[in-house]
Amino acid sequence: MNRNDLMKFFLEEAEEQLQTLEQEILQMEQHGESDEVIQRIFRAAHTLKGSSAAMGFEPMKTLTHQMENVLDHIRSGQMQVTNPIINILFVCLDRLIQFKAQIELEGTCSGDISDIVHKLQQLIEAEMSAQQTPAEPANLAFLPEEHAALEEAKSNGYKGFILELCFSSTCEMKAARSLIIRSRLEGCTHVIGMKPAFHEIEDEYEGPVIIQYLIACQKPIKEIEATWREITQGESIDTINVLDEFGAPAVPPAISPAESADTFIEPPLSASPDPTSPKAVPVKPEKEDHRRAASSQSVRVDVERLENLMNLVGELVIDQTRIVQVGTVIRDLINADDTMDEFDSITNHISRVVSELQESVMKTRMLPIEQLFNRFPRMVRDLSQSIGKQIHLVIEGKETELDRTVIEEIGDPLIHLIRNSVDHGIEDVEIRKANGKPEAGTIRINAVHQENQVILTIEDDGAGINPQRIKQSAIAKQLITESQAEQMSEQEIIHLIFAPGFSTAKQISDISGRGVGMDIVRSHIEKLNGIIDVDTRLNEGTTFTIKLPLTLAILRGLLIKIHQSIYALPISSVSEIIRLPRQDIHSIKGQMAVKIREQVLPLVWIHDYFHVPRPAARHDDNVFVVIVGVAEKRLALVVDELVGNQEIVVKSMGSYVGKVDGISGATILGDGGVALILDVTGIFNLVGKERSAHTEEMIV
Amino acid sequence: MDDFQQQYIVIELGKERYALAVSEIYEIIKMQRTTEVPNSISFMEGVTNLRGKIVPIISLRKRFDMEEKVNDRSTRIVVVNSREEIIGMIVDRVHQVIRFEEIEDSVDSVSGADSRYFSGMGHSGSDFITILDIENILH
Repeated sequence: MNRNDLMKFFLEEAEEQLQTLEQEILQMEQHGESDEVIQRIFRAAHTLKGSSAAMGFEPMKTLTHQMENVLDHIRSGQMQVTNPIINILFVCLDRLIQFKAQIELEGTCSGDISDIVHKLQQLIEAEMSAQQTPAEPANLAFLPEEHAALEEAKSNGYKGFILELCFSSTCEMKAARSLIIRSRLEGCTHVIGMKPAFHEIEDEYEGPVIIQYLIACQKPIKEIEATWREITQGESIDTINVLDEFGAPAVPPAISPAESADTFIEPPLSASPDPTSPKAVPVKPEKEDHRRAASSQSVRVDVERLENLMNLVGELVIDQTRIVQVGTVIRDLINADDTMDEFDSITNHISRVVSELQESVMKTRMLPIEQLFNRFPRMVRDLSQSIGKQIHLVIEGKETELDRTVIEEIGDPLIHLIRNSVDHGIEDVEIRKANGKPEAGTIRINAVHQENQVILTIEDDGAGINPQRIKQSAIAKQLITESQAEQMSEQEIIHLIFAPGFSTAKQISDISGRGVGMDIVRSHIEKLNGIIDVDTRLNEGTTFTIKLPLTLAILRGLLIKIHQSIYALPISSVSEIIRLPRQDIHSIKGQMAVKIREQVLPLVWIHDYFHVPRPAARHDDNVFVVIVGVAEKRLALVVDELVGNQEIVVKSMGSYVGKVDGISGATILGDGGVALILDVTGIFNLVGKERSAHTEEMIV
Repeated sequence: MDDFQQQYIVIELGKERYALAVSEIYEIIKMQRTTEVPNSISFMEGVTNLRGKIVPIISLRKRFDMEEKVNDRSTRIVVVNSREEIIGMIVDRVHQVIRFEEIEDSVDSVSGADSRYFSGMGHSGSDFITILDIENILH
């Protein structure tokens, strides 16, 4: 490995550890300290210390080393987690993030950390001086008489071990099961004690429960482990462990078989035997997830390789549609025979395999949105503290998977929406109290799959959007005229927040209201072929709903013909296809329109915008119309012909062709030809431009 | 003196012959079916599928303000690499490879086309051929 590879590896690892640190510190702040959380924080700091030392990043090493010291004191029970400690840990984390960014840019890191180091040392000193007496002798896990029994057994050549198991939260009758296991153990070894005692275990307790058995045994450790594994087989036991009589892991992880990878959860990092054994702690379920996640098998793959794989699959999808098409041509040319039938069955099979392959490759590009969502708790915490609001952030659907490019692109818009909710949505505490609402506002972020889309919602229980204020503001900013405002529905007025140049914030605060606002959010989302909608109730709150495609690379397209060219329309933006008689096209105030089920829709001959002739009248004098939509807007597009619908692989036309209004990209058809992909948002813009130019002319 | 070693490909456009440095050429292919791109630059012929890549194709005749000609069996697309993108140029015909003995930097426009499009004049025996400036033609 050369330095570059090492650097890459270091940065990836650092990123992971920093994320862990952030999550766990937040967790500690919200749910209080627990052995596991501290252990994880300690481990992340420890890993960072090791790798930064290896790379020679001195300040990073020193800082993580000092963090480790403090954490070690907390871990051993010599220090309590307090708010100042959490705040300093956050300060450390921020500094580490800065170092990482600096390393990424400059390849090295430097900077004065003496201030933080000093604070960390002070913490320890303060704590130590407070404890004049040495730390209490460690809480002996088992009863004194049990220890005495063990000592006696030891003198007879026995060795002491602690067998540990953790009943999962779903386990029924935990107390009873602990006894059954004890009796099975008695059958093969000498059980001295059990902790917690039988009467201390509640059968109905709903969290996971850790149970330890103290045994005296002469068998080799491997055999004990095998027996213990055999006895504890079953679904309701999460983890098992074999510890020495002091509670330290008795089997070096290297010896343990692969499946015990999750047996040795969090082996203590310090070598010193720690006689403090856990009490029958109710472990919170979410911590269980961490254990699971830690043991899931994965391989790091370079993103570029995945992109390449996706491109190749794209080629295959195209070739497969071409094979099908060529097959039909050949079938027309030659008489039916067995070979042709065989060819057909092969093409069918290839089609199936290719589409499965496509799906699998697409899945490899999918990441849980967790990555992005995990950034929010810290952000909301900092924001709410800086403006003195209390905010309860609820995140749901973290595990929902999305294409990585979509996740990258949706980050900024989501951050903006959340900032908006914190800043404008949730009211100040006094106002909330006056309105009889709980002091702390709630922001709920949710992600869920729905067919081929992902639905993201950002919901707050704040003040809601006041249409009157929007209306006045829009008029003041000359986005609409007063007469226009009169004719607009409430929903239409609320949608004005997405108009360019709109921002209701009276003052430009540090958080939002920089004027870039919602129009940028909307255009970001539309670029991803997504849709954003807003639902708001005065004094009850606002919900933003974002619908996104799972992937950008391959989509279902409706193929249509305009003049002599075939174009593809993303199916997601097509709402209806109809055939209607030409005389049903009306002209309203100089604009073409059609009435479909009592709704008047503007009708667009895209031919005019693309400078090609409109189609000649068909013999039956009907026209094909495709109704397309973005958000709540709809328009009717006249097409010459409907060609069909198929999976299309989206390809860029490159920077030489550049941005073409109304076109978002290109795709390759079954016959090898190129079809351009129509961009519905772009068409709305084209039509909008034309219309406003038209009205201006009329005014002049 | 390196220029002496440089090889050029001679192409034909109407009655004129032009030369293109071999080093600038990616490949030469037969005329392909193209898909028109609405509202694109005036001399853009369209885009085509070159082994799974979408490649823009321009018409050199349109670029030189010449009248258009029906494509025939000798029509070729000269694919060049410019600014890390592959772009095709339609020409009437592709001739032989040539080596110039001497290259003049300045060009007096003979064809009436913008002299910006030419980078020099190559001499080979009694023959002299205008050398195309791909960069300026494309951009």
